[in-house]
Amino acid sequence: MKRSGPLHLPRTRSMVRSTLRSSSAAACFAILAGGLVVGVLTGLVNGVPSARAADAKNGKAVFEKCAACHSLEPNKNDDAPTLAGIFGRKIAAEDFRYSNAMKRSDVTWDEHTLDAFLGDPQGFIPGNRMPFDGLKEKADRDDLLEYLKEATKN
Amino acid sequence: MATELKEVDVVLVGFGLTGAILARELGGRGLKIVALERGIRRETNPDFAVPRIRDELRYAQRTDLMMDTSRDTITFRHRLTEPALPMRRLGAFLPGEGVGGAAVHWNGFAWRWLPNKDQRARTFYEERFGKSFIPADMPLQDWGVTYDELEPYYDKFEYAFAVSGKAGNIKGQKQEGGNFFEPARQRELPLPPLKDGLATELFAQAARTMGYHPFLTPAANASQAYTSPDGVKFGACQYCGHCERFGCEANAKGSPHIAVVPVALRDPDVELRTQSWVTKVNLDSAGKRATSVTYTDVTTGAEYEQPAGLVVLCAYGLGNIHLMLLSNIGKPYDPVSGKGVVGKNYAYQVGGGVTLFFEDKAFNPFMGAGALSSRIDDFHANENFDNAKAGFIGGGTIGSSSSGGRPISYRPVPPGTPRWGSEWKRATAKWYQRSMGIAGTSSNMPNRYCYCDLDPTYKNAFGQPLMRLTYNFTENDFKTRDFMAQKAYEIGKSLNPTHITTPDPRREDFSLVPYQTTHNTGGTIMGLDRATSVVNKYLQSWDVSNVFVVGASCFPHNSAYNPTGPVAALAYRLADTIKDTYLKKPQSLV
Repeated sequence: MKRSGPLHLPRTRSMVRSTLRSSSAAACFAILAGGLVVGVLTGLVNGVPSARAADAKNGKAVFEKCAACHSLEPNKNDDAPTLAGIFGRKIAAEDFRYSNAMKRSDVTWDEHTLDAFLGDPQGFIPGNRMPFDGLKEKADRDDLLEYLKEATKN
Repeated sequence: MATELKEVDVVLVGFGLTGAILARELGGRGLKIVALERGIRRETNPDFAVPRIRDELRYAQRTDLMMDTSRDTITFRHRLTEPALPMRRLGAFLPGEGVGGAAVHWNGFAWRWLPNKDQRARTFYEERFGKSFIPADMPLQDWGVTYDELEPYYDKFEYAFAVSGKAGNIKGQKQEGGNFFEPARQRELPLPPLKDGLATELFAQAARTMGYHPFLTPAANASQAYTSPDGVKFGACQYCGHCERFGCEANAKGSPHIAVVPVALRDPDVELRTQSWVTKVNLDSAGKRATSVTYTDVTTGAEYEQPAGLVVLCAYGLGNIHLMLLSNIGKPYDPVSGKGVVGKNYAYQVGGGVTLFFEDKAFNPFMGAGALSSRIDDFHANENFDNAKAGFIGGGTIGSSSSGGRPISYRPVPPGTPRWGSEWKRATAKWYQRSMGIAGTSSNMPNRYCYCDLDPTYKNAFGQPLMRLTYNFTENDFKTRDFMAQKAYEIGKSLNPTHITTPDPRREDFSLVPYQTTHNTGGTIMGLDRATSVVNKYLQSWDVSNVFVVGASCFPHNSAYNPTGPVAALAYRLADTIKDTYLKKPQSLV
């Protein structure tokens, strides 16, 4: 069975996280509702080319969030699968102990799928094991992908 | 018969926080260094990867990353007149085992200790409150190393281990948002503070309203992605709530296995031997120089003798004391005569506080970072705090922490709730979301009768006597604890909770069973006088000049803070002492 898909609504984790600071049931509800709206918008925006020119230099800075685990060197899969050659690669194709969620998904990594995954990792592939809750800003994702296009060429 | 190996320059006994820091700092200069670690090596992947690391039963309840008490443990008694019995399960404290040691499963509290109340404890209290203020049975003493001497090493630690927080004092200038009372830092911390939670926010509001000075504690939980001066990449903390007792899946916790071990092992002259249990430091016939260490490969039982020019004991504090006693380095302490030094001034910590329950709030306790804590330091770092009026020596910090509400261990229910049955189930389901804690962590001053020696009866798996711990709380401890708990209660009460527990003023014996804190200090204490300390201010044995000891076992007393900051700072400083002074002239440094 194929699970996942870019239109999948984000699961509750990120919404609940945003209620971390709320102190009343009413505020919880408001933020919860806000989370839903943002989730839907993110889903719709996924894959739509942005009018803004992507900035690979900022993308390199954004990549710092990934670099604690992900390498850009081929075959370096220590804490996470390498990103070398990620564009055009089938999901779960590296020599790495992937979660079943990743292994069961049928995704080829490209600009659109990476954007959807990075925007909401648990929403796109529920149950994956990447300990990262995503890049919420579309501009950050655009910049990161712009950077990765060059940086991940084998 | 032990197989004798080829001599090396330095043997590090233990490859936890201090051993790994020393290897990192001493490596790369042609020294042949061997690190002997009793446990195994673990890496973020696969050992700490999700979902395996979220196994609360395995890691938190059954303490998978901690020391194996079936091989070696301590015996314990409260007082000289009791027989000591072996601690067969971990409880009150959780020493680590394996590469990275306890700094793999720590929460990440990264405090700096105080220039006067800690580093110059005896001098400070005597000058401020008179010579007779310190009781005769409290062997409080100055450390011999000053805060200013440690400051650059605290800084080095904070930048290498990704500490998040806000400075309260940079070069004497008070900074908004940090600890108002903290000693001066040379610069800001490398990362901004963690994200506040509701519990920490409410505590801060209440404390501020009452005139106190709340701040988020410096935390070795990276608040954002970070690259250390060594080029080590840290990820951002995900607030997963599984920090203490677990390894970090996101490479966000400042732990040796990511911060320093890979850097140290880049030098091919640094060799790590895991599952290698050091049983003894061997001395020459005059007992003045260490010649080698003996260790057992625990996978085969084979015994080896590793000759070395310099031996540094980098084990967990309790292990350092044990090895000094087993190796006859320094005179064992005798509480009756007060003579001798090894095992002296063992100290722990004392905590007490209250739980608040709110009908109308939701705390989401499952989210949290190890050292996400809002605290006040008005009763310790604050040098205007009147200890004479309060009636105790030492102090405490008070605060609320959001380090995670895990399903097995976190079950707050209001007082009066039955302890089992359907009513308990209803209460635990209801109040899980609706409670927060406020607690004090208090210092622990040394006492003449709190010490470690070798047990006369029980032996470990290697046929050696276990170490015996004699320890109990004192009146000074209870007074400090009760004062902090009462303040915690007052702050909690001001938030108008639906229910609040009351502080427990019992004068109970210390218990080894419930977890309290892994802050065991003393036993190989440092100082300026060889008659009252085991190592000098350079952490060098007074008796055997090529043996150094580093760790919380060198602290002459225990402060109100977590000990990791000064443990790491002392290790960084020791590396400089060895590099810049000792190796140039290998002899007694004082």
